[in-house]
Amino acid sequence: MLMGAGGGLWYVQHLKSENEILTLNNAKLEGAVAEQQAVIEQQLRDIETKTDINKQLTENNAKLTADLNLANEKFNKINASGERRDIGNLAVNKPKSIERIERKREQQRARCFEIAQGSPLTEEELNATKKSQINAECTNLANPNYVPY
Amino acid sequence: MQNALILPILITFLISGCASTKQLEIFTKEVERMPLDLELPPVETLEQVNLIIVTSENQEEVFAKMKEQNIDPVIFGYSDEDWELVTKNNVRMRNTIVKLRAIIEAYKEYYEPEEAEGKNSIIKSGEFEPKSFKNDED
Repeated sequence: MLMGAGGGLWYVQHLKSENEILTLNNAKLEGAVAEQQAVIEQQLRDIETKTDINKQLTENNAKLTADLNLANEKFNKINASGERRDIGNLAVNKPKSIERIERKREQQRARCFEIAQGSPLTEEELNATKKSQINAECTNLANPNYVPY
Repeated sequence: MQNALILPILITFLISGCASTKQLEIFTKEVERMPLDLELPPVETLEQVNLIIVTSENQEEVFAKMKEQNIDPVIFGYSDEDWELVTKNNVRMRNTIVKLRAIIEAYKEYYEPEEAEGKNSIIKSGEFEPKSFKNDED
């Protein structure tokens, strides 16, 4: 009888300890699920950020390509008499004035390189709203507040 | 004598029977890498160069002026067509710098958001818009 009681007691103790282990395991699993959920959420946020960055870079690259097209357009501009602008012809006829313009442009080009490298815009550049105030070489970069008219 | 031998053996069995094997717990802790946090190079200021337009008409005048200013009378030149190409190449190089900077900043923003936060970006949405020069007479 005593043996039976002892065995019963042992069995109950064993069940209690098993139950404790299962409770702990359950808590661990719940923790693991929460961690996995956090990982999934982080991955979703990463995907979103990556998509945003890619979109922004693609848009900016398209704008830079447009900038190059504008440079091309400047040299092939059609004048009032329907002729293509010929800088060579202009330089032959007005060497001094073309020299002056190109020297100014060269300074502007140098400034464009500085801005491209990350040089902050000056107040003058930020406030430029007239053609005479803008950097004609890289208006998109240098004069964000300039609206063409 | 026999009991003295059996009893310890039984106790040993009893104790070992009650003992349960503990589960191994493996802890994995992620160690974050130190942010590289490299600074971009300082802005390089370009030297100012003077352009000279030389035509068949003004060549003598140009060389005479150069001699006057103690400049060697020699010109490293481009034709008008090549000057156009040089100008466009400049735009291409500038665009490449802008693109590379934007990529570096995007990487920094993605992998080191706290370090990148608040730093000036060359390209911000809405700040860099293409403009038309169709009406620009300059």
